[in-house]
Amino acid sequence: MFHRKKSLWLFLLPGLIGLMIFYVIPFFGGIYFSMTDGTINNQLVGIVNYKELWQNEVFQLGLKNTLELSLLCAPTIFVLSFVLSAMLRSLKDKSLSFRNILVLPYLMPTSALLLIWLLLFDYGGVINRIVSSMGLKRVLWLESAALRVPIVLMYVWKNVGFSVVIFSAALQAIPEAYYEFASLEGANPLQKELKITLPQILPTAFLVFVLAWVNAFKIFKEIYFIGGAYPHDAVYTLQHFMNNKFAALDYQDVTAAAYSFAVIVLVLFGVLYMSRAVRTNDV
Amino acid sequence: MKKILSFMLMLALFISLIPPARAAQGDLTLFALDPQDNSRWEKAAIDLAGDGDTLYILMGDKVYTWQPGGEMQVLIDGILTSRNYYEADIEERSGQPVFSSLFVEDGKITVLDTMVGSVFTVESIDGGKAVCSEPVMLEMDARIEEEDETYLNFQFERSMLAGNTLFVIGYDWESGSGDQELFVWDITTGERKETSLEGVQAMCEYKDGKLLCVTCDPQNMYDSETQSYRPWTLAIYDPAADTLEEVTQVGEVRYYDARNIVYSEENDTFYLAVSNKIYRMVGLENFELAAYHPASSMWAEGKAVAAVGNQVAVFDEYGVYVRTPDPAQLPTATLSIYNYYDTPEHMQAVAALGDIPVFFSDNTYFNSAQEMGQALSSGENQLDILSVQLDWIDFNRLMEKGYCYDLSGSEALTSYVKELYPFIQDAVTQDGKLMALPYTVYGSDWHYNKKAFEELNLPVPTTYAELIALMNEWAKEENSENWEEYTLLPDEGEYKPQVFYDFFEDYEQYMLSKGETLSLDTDTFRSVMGALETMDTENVEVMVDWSEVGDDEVPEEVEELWNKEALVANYYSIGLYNQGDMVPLPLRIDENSEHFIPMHLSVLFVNPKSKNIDAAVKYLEELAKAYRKNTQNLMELSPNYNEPVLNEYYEDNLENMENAVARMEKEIEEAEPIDKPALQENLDSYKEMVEEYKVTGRYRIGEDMIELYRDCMQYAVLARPSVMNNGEDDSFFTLRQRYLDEQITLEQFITEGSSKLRLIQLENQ
Repeated sequence: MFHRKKSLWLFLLPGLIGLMIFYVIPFFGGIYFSMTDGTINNQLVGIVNYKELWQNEVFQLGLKNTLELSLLCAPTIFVLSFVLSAMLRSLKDKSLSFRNILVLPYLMPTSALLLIWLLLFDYGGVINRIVSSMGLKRVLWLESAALRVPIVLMYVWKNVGFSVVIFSAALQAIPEAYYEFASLEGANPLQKELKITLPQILPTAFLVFVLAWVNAFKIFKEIYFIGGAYPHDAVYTLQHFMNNKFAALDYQDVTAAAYSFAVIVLVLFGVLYMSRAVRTNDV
Repeated sequence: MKKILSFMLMLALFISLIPPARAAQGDLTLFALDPQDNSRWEKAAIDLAGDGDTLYILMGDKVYTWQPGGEMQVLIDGILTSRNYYEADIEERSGQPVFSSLFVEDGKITVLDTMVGSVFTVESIDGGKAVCSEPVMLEMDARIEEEDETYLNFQFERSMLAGNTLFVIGYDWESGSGDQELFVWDITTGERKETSLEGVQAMCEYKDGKLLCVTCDPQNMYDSETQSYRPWTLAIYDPAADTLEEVTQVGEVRYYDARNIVYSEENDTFYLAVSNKIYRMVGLENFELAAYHPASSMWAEGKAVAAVGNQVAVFDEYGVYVRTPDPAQLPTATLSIYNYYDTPEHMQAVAALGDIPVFFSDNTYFNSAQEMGQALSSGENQLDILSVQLDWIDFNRLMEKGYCYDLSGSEALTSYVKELYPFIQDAVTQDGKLMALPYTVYGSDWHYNKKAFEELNLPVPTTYAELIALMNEWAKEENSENWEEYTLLPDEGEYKPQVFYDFFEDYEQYMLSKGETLSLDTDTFRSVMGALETMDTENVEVMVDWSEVGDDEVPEEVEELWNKEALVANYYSIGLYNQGDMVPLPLRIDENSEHFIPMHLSVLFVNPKSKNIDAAVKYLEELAKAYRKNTQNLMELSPNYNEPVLNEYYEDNLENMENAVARMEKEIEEAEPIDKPALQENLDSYKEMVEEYKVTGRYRIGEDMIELYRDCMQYAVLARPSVMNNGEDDSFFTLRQRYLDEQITLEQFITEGSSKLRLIQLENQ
């Protein structure tokens, strides 16, 4: 037993060293940075940076936009991917090609996708031509608050395929016999979905929702490519704030913002996880 | 006794381990010119040659020799060189040998004449006068022979002689490619030889008849991935076989600096002299820093470096310096300066510092105050003194974060700064402490052609709206009679974007100078932009599609444009120099704003983490002392100096002009009757110019110029780093372009732009 334990640590050592060097030490180093004043002597100032950060209007704007965008995108992906998966299930053998088509945007580089979006939503682009033909005024999709629309659409279009794949796998795992038995008992399609499908895919649904939400927090490069470091207020995210501060070598603000956000995310997911745990116990 | 001996032995050992703070033995400044002497270029060294233990120096109108431990001796006197060639009359200099570059072997002096492209030898020296052989003319297409004299359309960059073969790196402007090339000649016959060598930057003799070359791939010098120049390659060239064998790469050298090399067979050591440093390779191994020297810009048509025994000599326009290249004797205390250059004031400060070498750190570039602060904080680059221009770098941020050493303890510096304009003092002071030494300032603003405005009876605009109204009026058809002689702006292209960009910049600087929150959503901005939208100057614009024009071509319409006098221009600087008829036009943003002129100030500050703070402060003190002697600079920085400055070349110039008049009169007498009217017209025009010069040329800085400058300085404000053009983000550029391309309206531009500005400003609070 003792021998096994010793060799266990030996095998774990390289990984642990790597973890220390690339994660643990930088993590605590970052906390230290976030509590210094950024002068030539880098003196500790406690939580002053955090106080100033939370009072900064632009940080608040970035945080608000990040949460709004994530709350817009994550449920949309969740619902849409579930609906699409259900539809694909009904196609049975023919569903593979459609699933592949849905996954294709996920595999393409974002910059390539953005080119398509820029063509579509440019002031003289396809979308505005359609809008004009309907007798409406053209919209500044890429320079105004309306930028949210193409961003959300693009994000959902790019990421829904991945969630569809996960949901499809979960749906396929549900034994057909349950549905047959429900049919025999006189259940209608809606009842089958609510009483059989949803409870069976709950763990997967939780996973899909978490993944969608985590990825939605990271919406940045799409907006950056279109709007630059300072896009419209409506799409200025926390990542913009951190990116600009990093470019200005203001590491104190970057780290303070990053750790603040990490705490928020931790709390949010903690709440989610706890509520799921409670539900599971109920079931 | 034993104890005493042991102690002495230990002491001796200890002392031998202390690195030398002083320069290496044998280091000396052989010859130094007064940096403030404006005629130093005529007296400065032109070329060097080493022959065993004897250094030959071509300087002024003499050839000197020097040996270690001795004094400079005059070997040859009263010669024509490429520096004093044009001071002599055409008759005097025609056919005379010109000493441009020396090559000495075993006492035999061979000379390259770069004025006519020939080579000759000094056969004997009689009482300091050289008796020279018949010159051998080098086979060159670039030689232009005219009735009175011969001249070359060729530029010599570096030359070396190996046996009877002359290697020259230069430019043949007559029939060459336009790129730097290697030319090879046999000096016994003048015949040009072919060579397969390419990309050679410098050459020197090696051993066994071979040569050392520093080469590069001229098409591939810059590495865009690392954003730096690729290192040079040191190679051995065998002229007999015409082969090149690579030895090693030469690093740490600026791309244009790898041109001064020499090999000492006695020590089997290769030396590369660059700005302020000498590197060596013993046995062509181990490239290492071996010595420092004061020369920053070493240039010669022949060689700016020579080996003398175990020492190396270099020169620049300020002096000749001898060094003993030995890494073990490198001084420990040095001063490194970022973003400055070898001004006469710098050379004086360097001389005053004595044994502490000073060099420029030119391989570094900081895009922002944050980047600079990060480098200072981390200690990388080891910069002691930094120069910044305050509208490029946020100097306030540097001061706030403690990146500037407090110079208040220096009486010399504080008393100097107290004399400067108040806005300059404020810029370098924080909480009453002096943080930097200002050393130069200039303004940039619109200028107008005063003479033309008076002739054409045009109203002088005082605001942007008035300027735009003037432009619109000028472009109307009814004024076309004036278009022949005058142009509105000096450049081709659309005028609206030019005015727009200038206004945008001025608007930002004005708001920053007032300390107001920057926003485009103001009545002021709207009113000027409204006027700009009415701008219609198509009639007078010259449009060119440069993509359809060849590299060396200039379209006819552009040449015509450049020959006209401009009414207004937006690229002149404001300072104490003659701009001809162009006079500053400090425009107000609108009628409710004040006049203002953004002034670009450059300062030097000390890194508080410098290991040589005392030396750095002393350097600044000596620099300030030297700048006090630079009258023009002082007058620009301080309101207290208003005495006109005489033009030291006035008498010489007037004499030359009067000689030219005499020559032209003689030419007219001897000319054919049919040519006389045209020549007379030229002479009359020239005489007018001479009369004008008698009035305007006496002073380099006259009373009128000083008065005009002081008038401008009452509107001076410090130019600050742009928020909207910070180079890090091009979203403003895109927004402005979309507005100019009429993809968005003015209101949309104002709304989006203001939103961006608000974000930027709040983010940085």
